[in-house]
Amino acid sequence: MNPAPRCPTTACAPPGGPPPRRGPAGAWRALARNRMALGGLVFFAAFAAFAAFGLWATGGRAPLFDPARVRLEERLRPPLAPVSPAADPEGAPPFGRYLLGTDDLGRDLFARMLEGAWVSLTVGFIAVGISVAVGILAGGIAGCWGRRPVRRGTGLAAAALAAGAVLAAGGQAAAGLLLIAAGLLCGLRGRLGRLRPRPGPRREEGWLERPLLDVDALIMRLVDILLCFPTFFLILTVVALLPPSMVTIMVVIGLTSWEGTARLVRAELLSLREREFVDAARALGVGGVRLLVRHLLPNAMAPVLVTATLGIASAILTESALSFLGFGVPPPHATWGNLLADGRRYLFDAPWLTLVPGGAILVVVLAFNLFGEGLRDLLNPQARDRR
Amino acid sequence: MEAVHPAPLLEIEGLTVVFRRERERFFAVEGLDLAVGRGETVGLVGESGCGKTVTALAVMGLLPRPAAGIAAGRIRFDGIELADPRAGYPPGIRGRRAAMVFQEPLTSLNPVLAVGEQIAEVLRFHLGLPAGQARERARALLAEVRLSRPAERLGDYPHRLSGGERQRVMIAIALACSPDLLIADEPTTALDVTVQAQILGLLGELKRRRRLAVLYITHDLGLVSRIAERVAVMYAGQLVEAGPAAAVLKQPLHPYTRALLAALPGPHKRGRRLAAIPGAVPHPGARPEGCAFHPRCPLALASCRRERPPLACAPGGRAVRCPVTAGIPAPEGPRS
Amino acid sequence: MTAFIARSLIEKLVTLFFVTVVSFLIVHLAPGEPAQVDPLNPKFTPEMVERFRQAFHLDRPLPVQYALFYRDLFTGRSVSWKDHRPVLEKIAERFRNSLPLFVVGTLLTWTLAFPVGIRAAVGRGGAFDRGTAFLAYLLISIPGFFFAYLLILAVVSAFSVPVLGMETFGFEGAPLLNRANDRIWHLLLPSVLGAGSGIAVLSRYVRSQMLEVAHQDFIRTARAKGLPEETVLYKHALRNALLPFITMFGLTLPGLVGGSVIIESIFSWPGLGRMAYEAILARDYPVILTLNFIAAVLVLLGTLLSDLLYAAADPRIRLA
Repeated sequence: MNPAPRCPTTACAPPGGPPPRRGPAGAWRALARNRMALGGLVFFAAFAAFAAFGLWATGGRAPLFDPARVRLEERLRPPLAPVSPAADPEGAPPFGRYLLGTDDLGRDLFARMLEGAWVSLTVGFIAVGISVAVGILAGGIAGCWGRRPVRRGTGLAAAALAAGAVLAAGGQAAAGLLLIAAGLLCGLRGRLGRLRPRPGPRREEGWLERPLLDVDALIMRLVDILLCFPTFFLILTVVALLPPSMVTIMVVIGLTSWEGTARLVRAELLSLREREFVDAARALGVGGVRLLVRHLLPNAMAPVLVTATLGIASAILTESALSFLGFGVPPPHATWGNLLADGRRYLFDAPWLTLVPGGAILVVVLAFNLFGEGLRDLLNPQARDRR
Repeated sequence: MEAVHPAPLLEIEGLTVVFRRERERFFAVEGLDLAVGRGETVGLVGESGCGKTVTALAVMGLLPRPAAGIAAGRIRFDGIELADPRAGYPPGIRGRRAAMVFQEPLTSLNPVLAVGEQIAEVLRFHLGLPAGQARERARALLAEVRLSRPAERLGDYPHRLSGGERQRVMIAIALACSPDLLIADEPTTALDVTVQAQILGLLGELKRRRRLAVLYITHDLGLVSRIAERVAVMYAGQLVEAGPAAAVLKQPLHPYTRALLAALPGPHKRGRRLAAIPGAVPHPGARPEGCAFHPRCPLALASCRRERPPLACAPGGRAVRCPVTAGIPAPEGPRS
Repeated sequence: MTAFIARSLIEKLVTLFFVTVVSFLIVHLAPGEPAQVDPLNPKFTPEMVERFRQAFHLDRPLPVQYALFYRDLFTGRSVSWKDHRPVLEKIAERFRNSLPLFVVGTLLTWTLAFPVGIRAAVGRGGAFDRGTAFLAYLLISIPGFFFAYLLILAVVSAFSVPVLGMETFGFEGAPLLNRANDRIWHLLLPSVLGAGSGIAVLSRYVRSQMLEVAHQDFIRTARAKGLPEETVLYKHALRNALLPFITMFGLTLPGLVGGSVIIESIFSWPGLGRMAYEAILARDYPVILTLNFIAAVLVLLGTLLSDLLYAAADPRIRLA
């Protein structure tokens, strides 16, 4: 018991103060109490270790597990089947056994799972990284500078630039370049005009300087447009039209899933800037980017972290669905999605070819989802009491 | 503490309310004794966090479950036991014979139900009135709480009403079944000062007309003098002083009551500095040993740090939990 | 009210215009000449490609192509590049196939998710709550196609009924009752699959909404009135908890087009989702763009619908 009177500021946090931040030790203890989050984290760590081990064990000239070695005489071996003595000993898996069996070309499923783990991890993290980056940028701009007007001149310049780019890409190089030049000129003129304050009485605003709409509305309309596309259909279309590669898939998943983060960051910023501690920072002369980066974003990060974790789960699912439809990461890379897609032809003869990758995807996605939900509880203790 | 009225309507004895959160356990109310006679108004006073609202919720059987529970003590309402953990809360009391008005009129009404329905449903359920009669009674109740154009207001949704109007509706709901006891939990704290006076006036009028017993919870000692016959002061979950309102306000016995009074602005204190109480109410999980008030008490003795003083009777139907000032009247008038 | 509808219609038309521009650009700026539907096909001689280009205005500048395409779309003249059938006719035919799947799936979702979510919220922390929570996470995390194969394996081996396609091949002459039975079996699995993750997500959301509302002050007021617990839960809490779902109901509409690509592919169900997949595979741009257009219209209609429903259900909201 503490006999000393408590300082009033700590006894009862004034409403409108910044949300309390826990030190790492406190966060760790809270995590240890939240079994769901802890379980998810442990699984995630195991998955990451597995993927890293896979990167090491399947790469190089003489890999420990060779995902690409074809042994037609060892087709469709069940899990734990020993390597037959007749088979070529070179490149045979360690322990002389196929841990998870072999596929229709006699390739070691365990080796292919190892390789695929890294792909799934990369796709998940980079796609979500892209979507979070774009989302924070868009949401941050909308939340912080949302009330700034977009002037007609700026809109016109942007339209000219965009149309020019489209035309140039579509074959009409001359017309396109002309429009781009016009757009640049228009935009630059506005810039220069603003830099040189005119002396004398303020003149009437020109047509070009009238506000068209504000920045917030612009970004939110963009989000609306994006929301009009059914996400999976859009991803499928774009991935099908572009040359197949892992980069394409990550970028497309990333660029089509940022609107949630953007809305979240924007809403969070809009509510945060009404709070007293932001006024306090403003009164101390902190402004603009510094206010955003040092005071607002850290407080808005908690929900973003949760969405990002859940986003990784859904990116992994999306990648596997694309692979399943034949638009995934192209061969020779093995991904869990295309392992599953290949395995379905042997659903009845070699069920492990379906069950192993399917189960692996399920477990990893489940771990991310549980970790994300647990994280949400951790970061929002008030809400935890209600769950 | 001796009851002013021979057979009190509400009698609380040794009430102890425990809160559990994860591995923590703390007592929000500890061994509280309190009585409210028929037609009597008792003011329950204390800073926020001292256990006033928890006491009221315990009486109404509304303690948040499973976090809170009554660990010990008895609550008798007109001879009926309310705090028996095995029997559960008896039916026919809550909302019928004992009603409660809450602090936040803005959020205490259901936003998607019309005001009339929120009153009428009580009448239908408790009194079994048919819909038409219930509606008519609801209109009459709205008129009784002085809401303008009551017939039109029946169909209005809460968001169309001001804070004061919503509190009037809350009072109308509470009074719908003509209860014997009304618990008012800081009903005017969230309102403007002028509205506050109106609501207070309304409550005074209603309690006289209906011979209503009122347990009026507030942190404002000044308010108590205007509405209550008796006053009970709580600090850190315990009763520290009780007695007739006039006597307590005139000659407070407990140092905490004195400090509360000294912190009150008033016309006779013009130009003088108001005495703030140093420190804050300790968190229920971190109450000091001995007298809970000793860290903030100007009169604390060495023994106050070790021993928890008992509630002692004082002349004039009063009680105080302080060995230093028990029976020693303070100098005339509140200190400053 | 009328003003609100008019204004939001105009807003949505503007959005729709940008959607058409963006989708047109996505399709037309992708690398690869759209006229070369299949460059390896020996039937596609240079003359044929040229004819193709002319027939579909591919030799005109992009803005003209855009205008011509949407003119054809609105006048119902656009045809599929694959089989030269009118796009709208093809879509209408596939739509009739997708509709039962969508309706059954949506009905399953909404009728199951609410009781499950409410029951989990009421008995929070109990066995039912924990059990459904775990099941929900499982359903959310399982890849749809993997789940489909597990279900097919289970149903085929347990009941030995055929499940692929809309009906069993060569069953057309069978008695009506048998045919109906057959159709229901075929419908059941894809609908359950389509509803699975929906039930999981929605029931969790219903639960957290109920718990959120249960902490509101007006619930304490309802209890203080001495009302029975059922009235408190189902009259006071549920009404408030249901409000956000009215919004969600409007948003299920676009699921008609985009939601069923994988399930329809697995079950060889000749619906809109499978049609979209086939169109993408064949680079059948008129079909892709038209489906996209319809999806966008459904999204915009859905949001308008949910705004209106919300205003009708929540007295605090006034459309102006």
